[in-house]
Amino acid sequence: MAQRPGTAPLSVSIGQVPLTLFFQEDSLFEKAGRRYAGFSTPHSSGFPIFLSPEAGPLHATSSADYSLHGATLHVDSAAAHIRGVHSEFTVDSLLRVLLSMILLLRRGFLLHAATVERAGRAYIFMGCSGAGKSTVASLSPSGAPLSDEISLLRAGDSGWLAHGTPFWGEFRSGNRNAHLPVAGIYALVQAAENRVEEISPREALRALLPNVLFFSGSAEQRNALLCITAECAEALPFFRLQFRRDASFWEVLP
Amino acid sequence: MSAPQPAVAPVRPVQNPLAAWREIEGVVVIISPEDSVLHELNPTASFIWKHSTGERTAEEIARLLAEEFEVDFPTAVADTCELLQELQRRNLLQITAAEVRHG
Repeated sequence: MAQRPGTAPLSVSIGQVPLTLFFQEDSLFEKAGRRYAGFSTPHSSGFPIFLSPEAGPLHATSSADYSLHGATLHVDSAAAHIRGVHSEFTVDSLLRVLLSMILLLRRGFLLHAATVERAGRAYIFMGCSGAGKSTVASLSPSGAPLSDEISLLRAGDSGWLAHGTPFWGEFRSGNRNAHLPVAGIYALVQAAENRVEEISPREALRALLPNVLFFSGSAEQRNALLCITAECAEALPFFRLQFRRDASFWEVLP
Repeated sequence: MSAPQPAVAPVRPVQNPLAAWREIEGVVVIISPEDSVLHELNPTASFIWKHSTGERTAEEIARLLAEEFEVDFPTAVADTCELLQELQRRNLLQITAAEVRHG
């Protein structure tokens, strides 16, 4: 890929989606390089993302546009442009937005969930802010978290896989770029006693959708969202997990 | 003498093309275009939704509903009209005037 003058490329792979970011500011390039170190790849042919400090227009008619903190994201089939960006945190937020759009077309999505590895499988704990995702991740002494805030799921030929992401709570960065088969997805409910019950695909879809990162206004993306989340709800075991805020909840998991 | 049939406005309901929907466990779930909220329909409403393709009038759908769920026609008409209005209010459905067919 041709590199624009004055830009420094950073290639990453998140959820096996290759992305190449082109920075105009060295300081932002260095910060992003540190943040995404665990997800960097030597291959520089990822979907190109051009970042510039100059503000750009928001194409109000485009469903693939998004604005945040004065920065704008514009996406077309060839590239993404992030303009007016000065902070690594804004880069991080807009990268989540962009990835959520790209993943929907590749049978995947980002989910507000913590993912913990145990015995080679991924246990996914989903919930809104305050539901206990970070708590669950921290209460898993014999498990290794893949994420404590934003999880990534993709359907593949051999089934659904949970991928590590660099998107951790409080804008911390993760560095475990691994993928694992999914043991189950648990909707978190804090309670006095631990209890787990399996829920139907329709209940699973109802629990899943509010936790999926989705920013698009296009009918095509909405259709893709419903299609892939319904497929996930039908394919994977879903549970409602009432849990105490200690590690004992692991004992009730199937 | 048979009981008078309820009057149904000559309209054709059409699903909003911007609404995403899918059948899961035998019922229809729809994501609304404005706010991406999930709407779940019951079996009767799912039946009416699936026939709201612009091909049939509300009265024709009500007749199919009466046959399928073995309810009397006035009840089917009431259910159909109520649901169509609700779906239209949520912008999940558009209702167009049906052409009067002479034959």
